[in-house]
Amino acid sequence: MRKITGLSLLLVGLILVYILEHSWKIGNNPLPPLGKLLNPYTGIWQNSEDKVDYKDINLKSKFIKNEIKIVFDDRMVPHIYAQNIEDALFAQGYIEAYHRLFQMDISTRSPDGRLAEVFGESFLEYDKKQRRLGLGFAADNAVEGWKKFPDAYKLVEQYSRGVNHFIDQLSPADYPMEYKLLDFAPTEWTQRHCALHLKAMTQTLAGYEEDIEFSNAIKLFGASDFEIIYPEHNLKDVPVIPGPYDFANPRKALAANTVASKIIAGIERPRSNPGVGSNNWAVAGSKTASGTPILANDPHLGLTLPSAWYEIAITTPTFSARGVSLPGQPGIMIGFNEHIAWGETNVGHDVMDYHQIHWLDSGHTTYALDGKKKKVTYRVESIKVKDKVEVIDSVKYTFWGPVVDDDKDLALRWLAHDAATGPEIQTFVKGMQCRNYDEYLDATSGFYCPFQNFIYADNHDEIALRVNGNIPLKRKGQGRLISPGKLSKDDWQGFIPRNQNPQVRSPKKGFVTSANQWSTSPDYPYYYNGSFEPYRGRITNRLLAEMDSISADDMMKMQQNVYSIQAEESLPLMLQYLDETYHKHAFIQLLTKWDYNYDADSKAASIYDEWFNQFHELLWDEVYTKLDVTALPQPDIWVSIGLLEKDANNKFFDIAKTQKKETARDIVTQAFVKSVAKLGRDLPEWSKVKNAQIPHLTRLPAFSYSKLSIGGHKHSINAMQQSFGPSWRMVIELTEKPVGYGIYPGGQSGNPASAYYKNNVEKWATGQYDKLTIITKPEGIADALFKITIKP
Amino acid sequence: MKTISTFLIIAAATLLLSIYLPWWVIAPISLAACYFAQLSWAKSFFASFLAVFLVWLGSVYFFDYGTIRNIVGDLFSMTADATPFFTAALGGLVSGIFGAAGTLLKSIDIG
Repeated sequence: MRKITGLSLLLVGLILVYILEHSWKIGNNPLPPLGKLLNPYTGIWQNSEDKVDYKDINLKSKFIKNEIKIVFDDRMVPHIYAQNIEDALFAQGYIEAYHRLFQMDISTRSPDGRLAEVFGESFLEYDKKQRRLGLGFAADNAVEGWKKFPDAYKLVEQYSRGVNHFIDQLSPADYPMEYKLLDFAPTEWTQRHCALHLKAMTQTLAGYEEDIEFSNAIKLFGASDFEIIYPEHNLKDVPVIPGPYDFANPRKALAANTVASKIIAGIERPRSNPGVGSNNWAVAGSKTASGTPILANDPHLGLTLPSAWYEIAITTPTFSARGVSLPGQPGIMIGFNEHIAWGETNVGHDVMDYHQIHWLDSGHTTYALDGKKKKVTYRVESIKVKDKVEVIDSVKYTFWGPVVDDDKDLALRWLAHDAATGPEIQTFVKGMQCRNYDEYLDATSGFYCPFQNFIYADNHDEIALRVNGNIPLKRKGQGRLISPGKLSKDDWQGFIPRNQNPQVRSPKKGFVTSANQWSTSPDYPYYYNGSFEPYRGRITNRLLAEMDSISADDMMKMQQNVYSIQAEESLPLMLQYLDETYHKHAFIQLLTKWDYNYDADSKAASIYDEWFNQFHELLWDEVYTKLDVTALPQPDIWVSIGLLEKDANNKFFDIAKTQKKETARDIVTQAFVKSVAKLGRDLPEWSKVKNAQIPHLTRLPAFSYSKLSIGGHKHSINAMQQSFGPSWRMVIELTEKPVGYGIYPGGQSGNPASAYYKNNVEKWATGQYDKLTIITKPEGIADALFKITIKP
Repeated sequence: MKTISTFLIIAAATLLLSIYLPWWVIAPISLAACYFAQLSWAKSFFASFLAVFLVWLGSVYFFDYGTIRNIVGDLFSMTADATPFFTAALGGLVSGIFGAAGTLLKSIDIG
């Protein structure tokens, strides 16, 4: 009897151990392997980090030539001191993994469609979609392209070796805590991971197309109404590089061939936030108090913990630079050295075109091209799924690219799939070492895709701006709708010669600026289309033109600017068209006093924003009421304001489904009534409406930051949305010894238990900056937390 | 006396072996120690539970600078101060069950 009880108890014990050793799912909530996780010797308790007591680390590697010193300053910013660039990049790889390994892992799994392996079946569909977009294919091609430039490729190799040096020395007790929660282990880092990281950024920044949506719209509304709802150029726009342009398109401006298509369903795929963008500007000495240029840049990305950015300083005997990197790619993307400062904003060109495929067999394995029969090739994607069997998906590839959706006769031509024709991967490694603009132009000329507005300033009073990337040469209108796919000549007509990319060097007006608006005015000789920001570029241009004797402080204040040109142009008209019976309403009293600033505590901003959105959707009821059943693009807001301004009798003001013929007055008034009903008596401040928060990469509330009270709007310079906005703010004064100011919402460490995990969030939210100085010797760093020495 | 020495043996073995072996090494430790110890099953459970409970609790306090407590508390919806005890009790429970099983598997009735 006792033995039976004993055996039963033993069985209970074994079952308990089994349960505690594995991860489970209770309902929809994942339960980590509790035994492993809470084991005091290798589990999460080992991830505790003392605030002050960091110990120096000594390492050895056969991959470096000379001793490297990495000193962490009092904000945990690493200052790398190496004798040559290859060693410096080894160190960069090492410390980025040291602080951000899990982030680097996840951000490269996402484009590669390998999230289900870690998060389970709920990510299988996401993985499939990523693979169908061909991001892994793109990364393979990128690596092959890089290999053609051995000197540049060596730099990526060294970076990867540094990452692996960190990974190799880890025991399970040392894994970042996310690995313990999700119960998986880090794997070797390769050059392909650097490519995947670049492709993830490309997807975020150059993943725009609405081909199906626009094709549906032209079919549904007809060409002339299409022009009213979806015009391309706003004449009030101030482009990145205004004309005139001193060259012509050598090809005839042929109109693009289009496909007479039927209405088709949209393609569901991961899309980037339409607010993706950034601001940058540089002012010449003629406009500054010090007489030397100032450069400012604030890239807008999804705000996460840890941040997309990592602050870093690199010094070799030939240069000393600092700024921010994107963990996963070598070099400093936005920063400055002892001579120059540089940065980027996104260029919203559409480099993603769907082509119609004409299948020649019912199995869809052959298609027509140039009058010939072509066979598809297959890329077999095997997707590992946690606790489940592997899933196989065979993706068809055509002349144009992958067939993203098997139910549609479309193949995707995407610039992201192409191998770069120049040494793209050295862009930010060489860029950070330059001393003047000629060097910088040369260093960054291999940059391919995603296109960026590269801004530049130096301490010899040069400022410059260039739309950088390999811009496809399109026919007029090409790529806005679905393109034909029967003839290879319906592909892009090559690429715009790089020296004819829109660019400007030290213009007379004394400043350059970009904020994701159109690259050029309509008289640029080449056609392109895309998604462009309507207001931020106008406000930066307006403010910079007015300013004089500018200080770095002025530029920091300007980065906090929450003024809305959208509101300035539309609100007076909306008030004018509002029915008189509402003019005494408390909301209107607030609105008439409003200064068009999206301040955190503004209640008027909450009213205006709701009112405008209601107005916009009511005006375009012809579009919005159909969105549930038909994939259509949303009209631009500047088009609505334009109609109110100049064409208040336009037929689109009529609400289609009612008997009555509505006018602008009816729409504006109805929208107001709806807003009053929605906002209620307890009118929220703008920060409450926005509800800004910074989630951890896994969205786990325990690792996230949710108590933010900040202003800003996607069309104001401080383009803060809920979890999207200025992910790094930087201002550099190009004095003889350049000095900078910068901050991002997060902290250097990816470890949620570190004091440096989210230490800068509040400071960022209140508009403060850290001072950035270049320290050329390790001894120059006061209050260092610790140092890492790597010996050959 | 036997209870205390069993307790000490389990505690010492846990401390020494846990650093090199998986967390469930506490199971065979308690099973073996109690199999040979000739205690009542209740005393075995008590000695095994308490040994691992205290060693784990002490270790948690030794390793944690105070931050992990908050994180584990947030993750499992409990107060930060409860998390070291929760951890220690988990280890203690596994150990206690195997300790009691160890005694019962030895067919001699000690009474």
